[in-house]
Amino acid sequence: MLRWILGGRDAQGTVESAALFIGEEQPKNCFTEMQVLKGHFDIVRFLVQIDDLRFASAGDDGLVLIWNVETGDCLLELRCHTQQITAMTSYSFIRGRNAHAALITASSDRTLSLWDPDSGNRVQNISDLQSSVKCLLVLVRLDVWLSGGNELCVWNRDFELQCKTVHHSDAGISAMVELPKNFIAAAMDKEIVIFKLSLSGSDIVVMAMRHLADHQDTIHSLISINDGLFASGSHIGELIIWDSVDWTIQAYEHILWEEPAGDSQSEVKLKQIERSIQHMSSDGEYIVAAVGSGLYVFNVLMKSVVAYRKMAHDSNVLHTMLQEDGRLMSCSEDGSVRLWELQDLPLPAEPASSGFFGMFGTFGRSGKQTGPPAKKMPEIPGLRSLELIGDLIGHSGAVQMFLSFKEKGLVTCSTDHLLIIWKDGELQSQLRSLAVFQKLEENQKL
Amino acid sequence: MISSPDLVAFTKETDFCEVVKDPSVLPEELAVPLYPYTGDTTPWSKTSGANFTKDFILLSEFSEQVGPQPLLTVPSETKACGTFDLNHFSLRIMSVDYQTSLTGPGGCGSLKLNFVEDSKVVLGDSREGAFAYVHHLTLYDLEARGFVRPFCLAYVSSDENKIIQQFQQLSAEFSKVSECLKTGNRKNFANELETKLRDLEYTRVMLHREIERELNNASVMCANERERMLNGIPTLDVKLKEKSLSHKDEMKLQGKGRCEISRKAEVECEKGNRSCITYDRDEQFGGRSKNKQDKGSCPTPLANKGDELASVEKSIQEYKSLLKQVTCYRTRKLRDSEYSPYEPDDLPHSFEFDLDDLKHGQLAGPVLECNVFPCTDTPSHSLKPIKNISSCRFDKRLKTLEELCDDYFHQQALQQLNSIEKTFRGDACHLYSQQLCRNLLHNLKSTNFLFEDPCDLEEEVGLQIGIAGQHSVQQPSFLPAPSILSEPVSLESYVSCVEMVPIKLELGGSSQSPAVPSSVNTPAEDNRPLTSSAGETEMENGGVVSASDCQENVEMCVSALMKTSISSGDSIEVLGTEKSFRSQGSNILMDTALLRPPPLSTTAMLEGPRQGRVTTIRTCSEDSIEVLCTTESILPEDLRASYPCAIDEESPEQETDEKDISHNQEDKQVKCVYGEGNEVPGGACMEELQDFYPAVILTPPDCPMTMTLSRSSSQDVCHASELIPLSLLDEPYRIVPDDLSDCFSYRSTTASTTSEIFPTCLPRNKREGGTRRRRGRVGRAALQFLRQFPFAVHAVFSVLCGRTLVVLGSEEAAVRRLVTALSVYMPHLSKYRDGIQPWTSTPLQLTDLLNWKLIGFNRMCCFTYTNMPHCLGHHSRYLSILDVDQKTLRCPVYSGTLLNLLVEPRSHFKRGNTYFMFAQSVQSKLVSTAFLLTFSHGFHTPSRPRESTWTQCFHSEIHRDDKKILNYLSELIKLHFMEVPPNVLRFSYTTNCIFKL
Repeated sequence: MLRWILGGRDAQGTVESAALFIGEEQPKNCFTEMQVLKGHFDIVRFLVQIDDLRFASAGDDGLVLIWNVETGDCLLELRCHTQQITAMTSYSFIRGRNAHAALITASSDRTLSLWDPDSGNRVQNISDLQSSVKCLLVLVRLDVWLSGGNELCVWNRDFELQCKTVHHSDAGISAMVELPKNFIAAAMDKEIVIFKLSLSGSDIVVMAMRHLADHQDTIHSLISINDGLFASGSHIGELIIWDSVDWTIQAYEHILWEEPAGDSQSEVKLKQIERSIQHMSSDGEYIVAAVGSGLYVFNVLMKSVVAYRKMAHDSNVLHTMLQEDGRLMSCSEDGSVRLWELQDLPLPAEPASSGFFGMFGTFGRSGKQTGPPAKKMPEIPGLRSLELIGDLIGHSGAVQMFLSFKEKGLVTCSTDHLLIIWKDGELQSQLRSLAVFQKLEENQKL
Repeated sequence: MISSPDLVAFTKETDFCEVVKDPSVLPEELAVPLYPYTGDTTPWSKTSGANFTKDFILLSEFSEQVGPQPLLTVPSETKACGTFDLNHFSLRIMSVDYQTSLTGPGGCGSLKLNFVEDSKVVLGDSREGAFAYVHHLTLYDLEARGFVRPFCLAYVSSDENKIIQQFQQLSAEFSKVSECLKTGNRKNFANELETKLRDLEYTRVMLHREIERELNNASVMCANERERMLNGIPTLDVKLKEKSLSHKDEMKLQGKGRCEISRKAEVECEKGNRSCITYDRDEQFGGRSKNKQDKGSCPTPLANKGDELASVEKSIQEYKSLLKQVTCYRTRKLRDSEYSPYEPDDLPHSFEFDLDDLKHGQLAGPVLECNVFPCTDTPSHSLKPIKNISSCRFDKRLKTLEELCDDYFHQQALQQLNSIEKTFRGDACHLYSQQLCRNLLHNLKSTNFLFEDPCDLEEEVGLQIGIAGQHSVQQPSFLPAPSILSEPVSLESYVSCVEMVPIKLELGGSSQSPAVPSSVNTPAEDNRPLTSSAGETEMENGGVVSASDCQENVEMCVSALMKTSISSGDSIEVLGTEKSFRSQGSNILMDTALLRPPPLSTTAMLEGPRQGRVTTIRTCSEDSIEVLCTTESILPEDLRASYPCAIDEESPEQETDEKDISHNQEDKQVKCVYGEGNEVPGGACMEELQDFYPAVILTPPDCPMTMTLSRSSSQDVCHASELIPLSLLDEPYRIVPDDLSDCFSYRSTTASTTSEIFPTCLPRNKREGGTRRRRGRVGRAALQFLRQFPFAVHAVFSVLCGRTLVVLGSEEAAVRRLVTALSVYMPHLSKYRDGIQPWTSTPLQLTDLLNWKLIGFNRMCCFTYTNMPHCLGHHSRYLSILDVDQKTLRCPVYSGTLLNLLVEPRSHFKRGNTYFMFAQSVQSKLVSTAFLLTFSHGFHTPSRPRESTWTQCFHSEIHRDDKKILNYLSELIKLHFMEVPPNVLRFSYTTNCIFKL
């Protein structure tokens, strides 16, 4: 088993190797029931929550399916895109006292569609786009939404183009976050561009304010942490935390998974260690970054690393999530979802680090020199370990994304065309019992 | 010397005791009555030393010539009765007087049919050690004394208790056989009567003609005589002249209408009666007429002829009344829910005449008659007066049972007898417990799907325990299972074929009576109502309508219809209306004992289209609209046959219908009037069916039930009232229509492919036998498995806690054998899904794990270097793997106690069947615990402060692994109850162990 070998190869990483030997007993893993949802014919890449009960899934087959998370029923099938879906978002708005949900999808057939997830109708459709849209951002406050492709377009609620930027580059906008005061940060290749939306009456004008070119490589991930901070991660493991207002760097991490010091000639070394930051998620205090096949937890307030695991998965981590209870979830190309828990290190004296962290301005490649790891980060206060408490195995392909409905379950989508709802078996059993008694009650007075 | 047979008492003193209501007993439906323990060491019934080895069915007859005689036994005599004296025994059972007769509806004639209710008695011959349930019935035979032929069916057993225990069942079963025989008999009897009537009519016509001729001749003779006397010159020339004259007269007479003739004939008949002047002359002319007519009748004196005519007319009246009684019987009987109309398979009375034949004028008289009465001999022979018939002729051969009953019904009855014999084969104790078990299982709707055979559950619908001496048994309803009719009925197929062509007869609202298309091709006598309206038709010699006449008739009536027809120019070929169907359906009263979902009568009707009777009437018209005749067209008219004269209630509307149809057939234009959906017969029938769904009510008790865990001691007994929502028990379980239709369609697919005449009886027998055999085989395989693998219990655990078990192997037979063995322990996922895939080679998908819980997997399917195919490795968390080739098992360890019973006694059982039953009993224990777990209220509401004892017990005393099993079963029960298909995969994270042999 490859996984065990990789995990165990690090002689020093006792924490890591111990945790990866998750046995078949997983007492902390509550997902003991699964429901397999079939409906897609190609890779499913996107999951979007519509409300407490429903979510939409979309992928390379151009289909958008709306599901009920409790029953697993496919509620609606939205067809019209001829090519793969490239972005999908949902938002709710209030029109005439009723809250409505809406779903916007973008496809590489250069169309944008607005759907009503209640009826399945396609409310609006735009098909004459110059480039396909890669990301969507809804600004609820302004009642507009933005699409990012090779140019940034601003649309109002009725799908009318308000304004757009000039054609930027071939790379186009890959991610956008909303900043205070009607500013938008957009990731374009190696740069972060700050746009300003200026509203004059009913007209909206968008203009680029600043180009932040501190990343050395393509930015893969751009998230908003809280009102004051946002973060970006690049292909070579640079993690920069920015101030949302004045766009200055608050923290800079260059994550370099260190090569094993000892038997570095071993054949495992041949494997290029991936350290691209694929995905980040944050709960306002911590950031989880998916770095290659590892996980990296950063405390924003302390500006310090909390925990990390270099080989959290056998393959690239594609999606991460921080839960309220200090648990993490990550999914990977290896087809599994893993549940992690931040735990205090059992033996604080033991050398905890096998990684190297370049702090504040240490630039990437300069930190590549190898040194004894114990010397580098021996006493980081509050360094904790990331313990594997469970894994969900079911998909036979890479798990692209997951979506948590809290106690109602966890939805995963995968390249094997399937969606799986993972549920707490105990809870479901109780719910079913309640349903049984309710039915009894309805049938006759209990 | 024949001693009178012992009448066996049914009731005991205890039956009349007041039942004391004990609040702690189970509801009656769920109570298990104790086996009436006799104090012997074995429960098996004692043999009474009879000199036959096993039970048999005896059919005997009280022959008016030789007295009681046995006719046949089931199984055949050599097999069944050994040295037992059948003759003597039939003598005894036939010597019971059972004339509790009901008089039939009084006819106008003096002849009356007694519709005798069958009598059912239990008789015993203690000296012979033979006891019998005896079912007396009478069949009708025109040639028999008093028209009756007494028969009796007897179920002979050496065990008196068995007969008494099974009395209700036997009675119900034999009633069906008897009804089947009687229906067939009524049909044949009606046929016979018709033949007779036609013969009589013919005789009457002949007599009329003869008398007429005589009188004509006589009058001419008279005149000539007088002339001659006046002239006084008797010459030969005059005689010749007379002859030609009379001949001319005759011609003239023949040229006139038939009515005229008869009127005249009657008048002259009277005249002739009074004056016998020309008696001697008559003979000459009689002789001449005899030469003239090929079918001549014997010349008799005119007075005798008059008498004869009178008596013939009288007997015609009588026979008509008889026929009416017989045909009325059907509708009368329909009101009883027990009555099931059997549909004969042949079409003697349907209007199958060929349109083409008619058109091309190929239908000569005799041919025509043959068409209509295919099973009777040609009526063109002359008849003896009725007097001769009633005289007893002992040399006469009596009709056999086959002749008495229609062949179809006879065969059906035999099939039923065979099936009865099979059903009641075996020891009384075994039968009793089997029925008891089925009955109880049937009541356990929420859990019985888990381990019971689905076909078992289907079969037992309507089965009731007939235990004399137990609580008062409900009126036995039909047992549909062995019945011929109930099984292969598909509502859907019926609807699908009927709905396509919803036909409504639209005749200006006057389509009250179903069309009886007898107008065209009935013999001349029958043509009268038609001809009277259509104009004058000639009646040729002997009342045989010639082809040209027939053509003419038709044309005339068509032309008449052109003016009077109510319907539009387009014609309708509707062979029955839904009205008749409805009226019939409504006749079926809702019986309280409607435990069987589809009442037989309904199903029988539904079955009609399949049974060949009607399919032939699918005509394809030129308008390319297919008209399908639905069953109803054959219903009440079935026995009436095509003899409309015999039916008094014939209404003018019917005539129009008839005319319409003849008209249509002439036109060959078919127009279908599509009725609204709800007026389709099929729709109506569906509605009715739904009404029929029984509300099986588990009457329940306000009394607490006591249920104990299998392991717990007596103090663990808790009152279920605090746990179980008692009202659960009296929830009126309605059979979900979907389920039913499902099962019907499933059945119909099997049945529709069988082309046998009796597709219904056979599969059931086969299935039953098959089930028994299969159980034995499965049980044996399971025993073998247990002996082969010492770690079998862990595999069983995997199966029972819902973890998919893969039997991995390279040899298909071995894998299949193991799958069969393990299937014993396999809970069904839902009613019609059992989650077993005995052999597959395709790599497993995740979804397969949801559907299949037991998989035989071909190791060779994906060759890998490792032992285990990749797909199994990937899902290894959810799988237990039994490797046949390497004799290893990889699965969670079982350390509970509940299953030990199942696995331990592996050395004690010799027979597969026994083990199978044992396993079922252990499983049913599990199921009842799971049921308690599912429906105990306190268990699932943690907010409740005071946990019940049972809940505590569940938490503290039951092992973790046992809990898993119970939880899994409980989940299945819940899903079943909520009618949700089991579409989730539940699993747990547990360590797997590898066991090696």
